[in-house]
Amino acid sequence: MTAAIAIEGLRHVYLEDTPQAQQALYNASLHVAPAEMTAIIGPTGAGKSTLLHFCNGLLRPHERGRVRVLDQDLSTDVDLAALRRNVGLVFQYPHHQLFERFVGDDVAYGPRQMGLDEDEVEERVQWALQAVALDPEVFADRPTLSLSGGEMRRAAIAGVLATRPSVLILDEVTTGLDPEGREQIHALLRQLNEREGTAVLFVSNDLDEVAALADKAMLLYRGYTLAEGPVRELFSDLPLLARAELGAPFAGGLAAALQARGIALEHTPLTAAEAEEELWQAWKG
Amino acid sequence: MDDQGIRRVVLAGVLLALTLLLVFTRIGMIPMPTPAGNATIAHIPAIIGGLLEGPLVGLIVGLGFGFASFVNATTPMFKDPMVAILPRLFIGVVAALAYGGVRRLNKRGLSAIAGILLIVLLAAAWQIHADKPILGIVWAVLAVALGVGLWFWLRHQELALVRVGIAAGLGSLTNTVLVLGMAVVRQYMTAPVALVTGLTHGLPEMIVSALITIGVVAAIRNLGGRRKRRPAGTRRSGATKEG
Amino acid sequence: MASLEGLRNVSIGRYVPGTSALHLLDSRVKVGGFLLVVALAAIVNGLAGLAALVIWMLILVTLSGIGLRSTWNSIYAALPFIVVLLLLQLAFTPIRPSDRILLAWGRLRLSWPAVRLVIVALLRFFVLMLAVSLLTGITSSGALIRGVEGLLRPFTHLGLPAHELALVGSVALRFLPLLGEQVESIAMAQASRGLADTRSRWKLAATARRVAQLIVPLFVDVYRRSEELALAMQARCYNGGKGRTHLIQERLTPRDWLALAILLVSSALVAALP
Repeated sequence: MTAAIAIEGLRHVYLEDTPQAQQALYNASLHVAPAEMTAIIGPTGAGKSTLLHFCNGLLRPHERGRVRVLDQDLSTDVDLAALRRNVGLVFQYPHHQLFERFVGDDVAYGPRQMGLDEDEVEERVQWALQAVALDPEVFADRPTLSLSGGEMRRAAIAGVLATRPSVLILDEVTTGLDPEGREQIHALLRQLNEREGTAVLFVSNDLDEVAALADKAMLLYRGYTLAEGPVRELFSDLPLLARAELGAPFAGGLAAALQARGIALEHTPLTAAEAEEELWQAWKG
Repeated sequence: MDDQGIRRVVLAGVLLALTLLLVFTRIGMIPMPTPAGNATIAHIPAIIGGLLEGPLVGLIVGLGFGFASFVNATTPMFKDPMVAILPRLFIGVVAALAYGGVRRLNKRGLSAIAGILLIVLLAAAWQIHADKPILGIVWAVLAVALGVGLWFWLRHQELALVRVGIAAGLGSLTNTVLVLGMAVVRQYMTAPVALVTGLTHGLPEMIVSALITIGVVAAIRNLGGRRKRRPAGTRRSGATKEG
Repeated sequence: MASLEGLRNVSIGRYVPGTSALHLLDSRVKVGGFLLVVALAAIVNGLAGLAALVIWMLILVTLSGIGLRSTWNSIYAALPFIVVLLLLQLAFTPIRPSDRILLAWGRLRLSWPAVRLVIVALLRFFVLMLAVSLLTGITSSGALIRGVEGLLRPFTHLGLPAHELALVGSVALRFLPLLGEQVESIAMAQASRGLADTRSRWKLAATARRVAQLIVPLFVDVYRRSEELALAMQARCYNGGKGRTHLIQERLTPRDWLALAILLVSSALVAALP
């Protein structure tokens, strides 16, 4: 398999041919390689969530655009249930994704749909809850409504992980979390990516998060893919980011500001750690 | 307006919105091959409103349901306000009153009522048997099945939820009976047709309403129920209702 | 789920913005007029009267310019249904000996009262369809609420909580799109977890179960929201509608009085017809 997800030239209009028609995507492309971490960045309303919905078959391409996920062409008849077990999508608002009354049942939903026997289901539930740092002993029997926001978010991820997808897609999953919560999620994603070889695709508004986590990024602006490539490249093109109404990532912005003052750094840093290193080099002279 | 009043107003408003959503997006309608068209769940917000906050809220949401179904209707029968709107006023009210009524009853009381119901049904079966033997037997079998089912249910379910279920069932029944009744009065259907439709629609609707209402109230008030999980080799204990 | 996309755009009827004489009427007149027409449709039994009502409605609809395409489409779609219903009604209306028989064919007999009943039902149906289309066409949702509240205001003195009822309506309107989005979210989240979103029609129970799985979380979420909103209102010291002022004040203009006059006269005429 060359690419886990390959989207080209995608166009989508919501409620086409009705008075409420709204175009969300004009020409979008995305390539997610297996076992890589890819990010989608772009301002609000760019169409990022819409694009994600194509990745697990919630939306199907009909007019223009090609969508291939795990070597299946989504404009043809595809076994959606099987696809969705392999492509896990975690949505933005956690309380909409938990629909069972008890956490354990919600996490068990996916495995049960897969037809696993109860022992295996239970195993998966335990594993998934542990993976998201929710103690199964405590949380499996709790009512979903009694969880805090952060806990709900993690429970939602557990529910998606329970089917052991080869592609994990997350829509702004750390927005609104405190730094510790964010770190936990990052650690989890890295672990999945490195140990299990899961391809991770995530949408984020936080450029520093993207800089820290992702290998590649795609910039989506008003339904158009403006750029796609390694994060380092993308983030050193500050004018491009500005055109897309995105601020600069911290490290890159710092470098640019210093440059404007005549202090040139050898390489454009991506993270705070790199910036520190570059500055130190520049300082040493 | 006191806090209680505000809660009522807000809940009525939100339930009304939900009713409108269910009616105008067809989620609330399950198509059935009968003259009445669709089996509905859009009356459930009215039931819940009546149950949780009293007859006034039930009345308002019921009115909303009636009006929505009137606006949405494309058949002469439901375009008649007497059929679409008037009967619906009572859904929430009946649910509220029924809930208030059975609230005081404990298990014994409820079992007694179930028992009486069973006897009534069997008596009816006997009567029918005299006229049409086969129908009588069918009726009797159904009555017994119902009785046994109810008995089991009463034993295992949380008492509060049983009361909720009864109130919800009665509320749904009100919808079926009054709407079809008005349809007959206004001469859109004949009585036999209405009876058949009532049985085909009414019973499933009643059961579904009861189940959904119980599910909702259980989740809101955190009553009863435990995880569905069944550790291998152990028997499933106690609780029943899933969220 | 049939269509996951359109759920967030739920609205009551189809509002068609415009500037016709009808559009510019006071909301109270619109709603009041509608109620009057509905009452007439229910009460009037004469064929001439009902026919006059239909014509009257058609005139008004033409004047308002809202177009009848969608209304006609829904009637068209329900046509087979309606035909069957009417035939059934014809067949099963009991025939009394004094009734005039129009047609006799073997054992089937068509009596005039039966036919008349069918015609009356049809005419009523058309009047109501047109009236509803007209009202929802010339009145936006917000205006509808204003109209209802305005009409109920005089009854406050009799103890009817008009302001509270209007508030209920406002809350409902505000939440409608939110609920639509929510249902979409829940449906998508469930679909993403392996719930196939094609409906197998012959499994009625399965459909019911799927619906229930969608509805219960929706209800619970709805209840939560209402608690939050109630808290917010309490925090803002909301204390009922007495003495509340409104952002949009509607005043009755000469046009409204004229419309009312025409309304009353026409109603009287229609009621007087055989």
